[in-house]
Amino acid sequence: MTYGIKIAKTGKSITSTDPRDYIFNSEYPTLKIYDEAPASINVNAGSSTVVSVEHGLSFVPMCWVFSELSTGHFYCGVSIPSQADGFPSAYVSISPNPAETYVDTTYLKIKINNTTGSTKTVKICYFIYGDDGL
Amino acid sequence: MTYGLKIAKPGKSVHSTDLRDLSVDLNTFSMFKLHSSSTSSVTINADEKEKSSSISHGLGYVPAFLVYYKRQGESVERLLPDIPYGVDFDFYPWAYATSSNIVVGYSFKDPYNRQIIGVADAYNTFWGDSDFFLGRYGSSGNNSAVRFTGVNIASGDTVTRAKVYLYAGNSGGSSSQHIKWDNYGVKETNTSACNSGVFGRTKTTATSYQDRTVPNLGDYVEVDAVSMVNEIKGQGGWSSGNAMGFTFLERGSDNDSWFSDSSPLYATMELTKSGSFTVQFRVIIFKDKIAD
Repeated sequence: MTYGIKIAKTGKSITSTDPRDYIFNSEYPTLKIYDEAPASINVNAGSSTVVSVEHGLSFVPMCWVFSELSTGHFYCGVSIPSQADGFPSAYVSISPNPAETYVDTTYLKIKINNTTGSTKTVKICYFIYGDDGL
Repeated sequence: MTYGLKIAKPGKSVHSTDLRDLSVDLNTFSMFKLHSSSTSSVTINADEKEKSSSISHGLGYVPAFLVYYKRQGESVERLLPDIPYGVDFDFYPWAYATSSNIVVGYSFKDPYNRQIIGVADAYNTFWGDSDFFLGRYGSSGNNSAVRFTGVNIASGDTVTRAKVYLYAGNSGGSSSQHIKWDNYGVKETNTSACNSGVFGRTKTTATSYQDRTVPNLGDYVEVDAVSMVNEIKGQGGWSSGNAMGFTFLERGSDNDSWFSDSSPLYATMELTKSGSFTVQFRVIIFKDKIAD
């Protein structure tokens, strides 16, 4: 016998086979937020900074990162900002180079590039899940 | 005593120390909480480079979010960020969250549906060679022609903007003196290289008269050519990728007023054809906060 918990949406049946009919169904594993943290990183003008988070898991976890590439504008992942936010003339970005921004069995690494002429304080927020990312 | 809920995956124990063995562990790990899911779109018109659309979330803080997008003419949904690496950023989608909105958008490196074509060849009556020279040297009037190859517009396209930019690599006369001339298109569907015979080729009915002061060195002199371009490509026999020519016939300039462009020539033509590009977005917003 299989045990678990199901909570169907209003008007839907707990015998439904459509996952969208459920608010929660333990047959479908959920992402477990293992670690989350905000941070503020100073990145010098025309320079880069690597944020290194030692996650302590023995596997490559799924991760999600948001970063403030322009004041009050939080982009998702390895983003390049909009032209209105400075691309391509002078901007802050998360490197899309897979050798620079990645997660492995030890670290989540995030490389922040600043091509502007002034030091930027970049707010980031990362989530590390207790689930396989690879 | 700690209360909570753990559900192990089939065949796994709730006592496992491997997080991946658990389907749910509400004792220790929280989960993302869905706030809303909605759609939006942006339409980039000819000559535009970037458009955006905002979706209000009403949370009062910056939330986590996910965005999918689908480009016009494609059936697949793509997940943001979708950043090319190692290639040019000719176009890309983007999205960001603020404390009041999720803003989604799409950017083109160059204005949409605009092409910039470098000049292929030229001819002038002053030297009688392949340089560009327009205006009067002394009291003698001099004409020029330029040709552009690889003009990628179809006969059915509507050209909404066409500019020929003539480069002043050198000039003569003061900035108060005037150079005046008539602009024509060469009314041929794939005109050959400019030579002494270019001025004898059929001219477009579309024409314009231009009067401007002597340009500074390094200036580009702009010629509006949209009616000429539409007349040339509207002929039977025009094919995308063919060559297009223009002549500039001096008429009434001040004496000793001219500008020229020598090899390598820097004249260009910018064309914009009508059209638009729509990108659809699906925005999933969570109640989980990433910043105040």
